[in-house]
Amino acid sequence: MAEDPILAAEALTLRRGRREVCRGLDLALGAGQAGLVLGANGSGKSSLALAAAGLLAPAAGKLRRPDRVGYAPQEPRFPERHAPLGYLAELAELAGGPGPALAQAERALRGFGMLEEGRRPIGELSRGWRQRLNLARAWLGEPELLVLDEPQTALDPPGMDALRRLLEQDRPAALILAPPGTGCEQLAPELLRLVEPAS
Amino acid sequence: MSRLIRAALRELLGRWGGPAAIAWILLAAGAAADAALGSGSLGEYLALVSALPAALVFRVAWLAERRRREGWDMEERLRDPGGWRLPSAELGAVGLLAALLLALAWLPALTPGLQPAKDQGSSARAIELRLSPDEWRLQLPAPCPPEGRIEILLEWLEPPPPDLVLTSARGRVEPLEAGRLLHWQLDEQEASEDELVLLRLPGARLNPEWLRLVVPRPGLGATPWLLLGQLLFSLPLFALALLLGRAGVRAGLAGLGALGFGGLAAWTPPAAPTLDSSPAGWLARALVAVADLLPPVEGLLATGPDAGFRYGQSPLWAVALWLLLGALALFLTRRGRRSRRRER
Repeated sequence: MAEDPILAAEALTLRRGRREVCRGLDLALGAGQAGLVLGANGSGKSSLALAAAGLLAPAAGKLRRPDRVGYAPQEPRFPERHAPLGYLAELAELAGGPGPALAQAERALRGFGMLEEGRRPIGELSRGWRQRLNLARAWLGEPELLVLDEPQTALDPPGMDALRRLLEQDRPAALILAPPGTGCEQLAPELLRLVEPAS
Repeated sequence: MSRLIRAALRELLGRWGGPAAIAWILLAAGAAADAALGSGSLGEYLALVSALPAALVFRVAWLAERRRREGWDMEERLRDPGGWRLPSAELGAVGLLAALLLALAWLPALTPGLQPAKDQGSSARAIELRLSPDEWRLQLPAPCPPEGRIEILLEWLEPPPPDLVLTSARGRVEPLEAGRLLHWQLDEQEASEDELVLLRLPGARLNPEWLRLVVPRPGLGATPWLLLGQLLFSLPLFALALLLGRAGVRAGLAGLGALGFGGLAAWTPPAAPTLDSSPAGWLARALVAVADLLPPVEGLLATGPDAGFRYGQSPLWAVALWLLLGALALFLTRRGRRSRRRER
């Protein structure tokens, strides 16, 4: 376990409605550490991601997490008529973070090589570009923790390279959740958990 | 904050919102000034103009619904722990847009086409007359503006005596000319009461069909205040539509709910409604109870041919309380976000 972890779960139990999706989970992630949680479909990875992002309250157990979390969901939703640059600038302003909102948005888009695509309506972007935007959105505002739910989805090799490069350069604390064998092992060398579907 | 307000403004206006609003203002001005189409009164024009803030109530509910679908709620929970930035920006945007449109609506009111002769006239309401052996009891409608006057016509069964006077129960005396309308100008005390009691004259019959309360219509100088009243009346409704829309209510229902609430606030229920114990009666009772609880802000929405009866009738405390209700709706919008997070 990491010392003084930025994300720590102890005997964590999560429920979606009445269904228990995760029970008795222990997890710790230190600052600057990228950790991988592998699990098959239905094993509760997305619920764990939601809890780590602060969007799902634990049913039992303890969960310690930072306030500023960047979250890239498995199925992102976007304002389709907005351009990515303007949209991310609005989100930066929503967070009220330091620095000009537009510069923050440009930096996040540049990191994923989509500055040129940043002025087209989101609805016109391909699935791969939308996934890059999903990741750029999570990166926006220098969060203390990144939670990336199946980040490899629809990403082409340059997109995966950009993600790996940013993880190495910025060294954020990152919790990556994915099914086994999807190539995410190269993003986070440290396997935190292999989760099984709750019985 | 300005970027969020600008984004909300763009979405509220859409591509055709601006031209459509301007076209509506021009259409309203033309219709109200046309003697064949409207009553040729400023109140008529303002009634048509009030469709603009009403449309914005639906529009802001639609904005909340659309943004919920676009995942703004999740981003808001992630990025704004206080939870006030987005609803404040949305409310600010719709308030700004309403102010702009209502300011635009002032311009046609200044043109000669919207200053018909009838506008210098008056609004009138019938008065209920109750008879007792010695008195005529005139039931004054509420609210009764202090500058109101009562028009009274007496019919004589036999030749009237000379030096006729009409006397109130309070002892006020007004000279009277047989066969001519008497304009009884209400004083401050009489206007504040529900009833004016006049002493019956022997051999005279008070014609109830001519009996009416007349007030001057607000002049064109009152237009900015009338438009400001519409804006102040609308702000809490925008906040309520936003609250409902963000809580998951569909945009159409949220808009209807907010406008229904506004309708109750603008309604002056009868003092003693006679209602039976049927389900409809109970519903009406509940509506009357809610309308009685709300601050009397019908004066802010002084529109229509009888605008004079409502103009300036809302006390300052009522307006302040009404705006506080809007602030409460905005606060609950923020709290609602937190409770949803706990439930997920």
